[in-house]
Amino acid sequence: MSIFISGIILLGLFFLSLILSYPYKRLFGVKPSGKYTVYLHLLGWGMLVVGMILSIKTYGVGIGITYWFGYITLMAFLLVIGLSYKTKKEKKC
Amino acid sequence: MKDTFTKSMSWLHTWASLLLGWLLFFIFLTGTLGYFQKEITQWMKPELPISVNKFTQQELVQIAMNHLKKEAPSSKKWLIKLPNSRENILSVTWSHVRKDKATAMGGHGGGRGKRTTHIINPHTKEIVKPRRTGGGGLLYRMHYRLHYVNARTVGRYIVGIASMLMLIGLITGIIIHLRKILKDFFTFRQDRNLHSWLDGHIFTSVLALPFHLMITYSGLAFFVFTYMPLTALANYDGDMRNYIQEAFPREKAIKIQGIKEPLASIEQMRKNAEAYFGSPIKSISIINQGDSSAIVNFTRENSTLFSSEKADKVYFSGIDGKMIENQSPNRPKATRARDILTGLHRGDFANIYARWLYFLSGVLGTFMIATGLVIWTKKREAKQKDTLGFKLVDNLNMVTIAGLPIAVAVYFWANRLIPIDVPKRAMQEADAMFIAWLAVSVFVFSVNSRKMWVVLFYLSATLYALLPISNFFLTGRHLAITIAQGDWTLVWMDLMLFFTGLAFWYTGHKVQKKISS
Repeated sequence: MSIFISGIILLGLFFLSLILSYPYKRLFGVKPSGKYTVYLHLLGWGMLVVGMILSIKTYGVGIGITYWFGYITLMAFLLVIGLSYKTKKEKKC
Repeated sequence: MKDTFTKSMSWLHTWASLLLGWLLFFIFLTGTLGYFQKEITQWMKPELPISVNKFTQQELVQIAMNHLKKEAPSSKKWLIKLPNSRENILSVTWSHVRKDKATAMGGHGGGRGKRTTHIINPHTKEIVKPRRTGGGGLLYRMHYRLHYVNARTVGRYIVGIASMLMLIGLITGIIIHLRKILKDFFTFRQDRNLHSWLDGHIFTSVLALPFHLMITYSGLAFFVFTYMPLTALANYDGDMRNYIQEAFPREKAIKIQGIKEPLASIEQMRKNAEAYFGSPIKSISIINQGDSSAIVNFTRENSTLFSSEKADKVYFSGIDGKMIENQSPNRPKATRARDILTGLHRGDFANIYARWLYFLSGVLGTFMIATGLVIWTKKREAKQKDTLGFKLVDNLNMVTIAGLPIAVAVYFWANRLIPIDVPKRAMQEADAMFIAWLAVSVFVFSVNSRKMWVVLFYLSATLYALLPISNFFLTGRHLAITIAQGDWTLVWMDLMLFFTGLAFWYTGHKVQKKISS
């Protein structure tokens, strides 16, 4: 279950990161058009909320919320490392 | 003060954080290691029996009970600590109570007679005497009461002031950065000097921001009585003891009846307790065995944070083995609120996955402080390079950020190299750590060059990477044995030490490239 929750949070954060110009440019080479910003917001935050609900259902309110913050920290950490790795690879090309 | 609000906040952020930044680095590093203090202690006591986890709890309780019956038949206070997911140790403790006194259930003897603890090797049923060491617990205790500071309150005050400054640093940091928090959330630009340092600082701060806020605030809650004693003194006739008594009620004392009765089956009680908790047992305490007033209580392995303490203990009558009313005292609501804060700080409830999350967050916090300290020098490099203040900060950064890990590595090496029968051995290990740190400081300040970063990182790398290898020669608890026996705590410790070495080597390599270019 914890892997499932982590995955959902990672996806949510990934969608949110696409709204910002820096990660988007790294991934696709162009600036974001801003067309899908609303949907990305909805998807990203929606998935974070789903992650929180699942976490609370699994671990109870107190520990669930604590773990949820922990999951976000870990997943955002992985995402940032992943994005900067992509940057380095592109530079070498 | 500065002309705009943000600028004032920025000024405060810079100077409040710099003032005790090096101490905060020490507190964060040792505190983060504290999340694995039991694992570190076990690694530092290689005499402990290996693969104790192959025994069932039933077998272990039987071995412990036999040992207690043989060694302490007349003691009225027995305690059995069982191996659990974090500690691979079976130990028994007993103390003798004066006949006219009642036996207190909780607490640590408290002058009620000498306590004796034996660690038992379940394979041979013999007593194990591991080397004397401060272990991970010493590192953990350093993060809130420092070392060589004998008066407890002095250490707490210094750490408390540092925590307050940390809290100021965090809040001003949030204010400065408020508008850009989401924008910079995923940004980490590499290889661009000040930019990458700033990104690194922001990303380590923002990612674990809930943790940083929680850990700093709850850290202050631990010693709230030391920091703000007047409220309690004013309301409890100027005597802190009255207040402590009401805030932390003790467990009841059980009077010895003097009527001999045999103890009921512990195994049956253990089974019932396990079923009641739905999780394994951590410890068993047996009060007044052999008497008609006998009571047995069991503590569960994973404590629950947000329910009352009562949920973690269950009591049985020692005569008929039936579950009886919970004897734990009711803690006042204010105490419970503090319990939650301190429990959250220590990660009492954390399973292994959450423990790693705590550890990662702590590492991020340590990096946040380190990057912040480096940014101070980076920003002033161009203009103030030759000033005394700049050099002082620059050198202190080296001593702390690159030097403290060396001191910790030396602490581990001292554990391996100091002869086992030396008096005050545990103290000497700690002395070795601080002598090493002092040596690094003298070295850094006399050389006075940025190249010392590289030297220190490579030295760290060597010290850490060689520790697991030294186990082949010094302790016999090396990876080949620990993997074969399935003692994963020791396996992980060795691997982590080795990876720490690699990480320092990589950092040294990177810094060397940057300095030479």
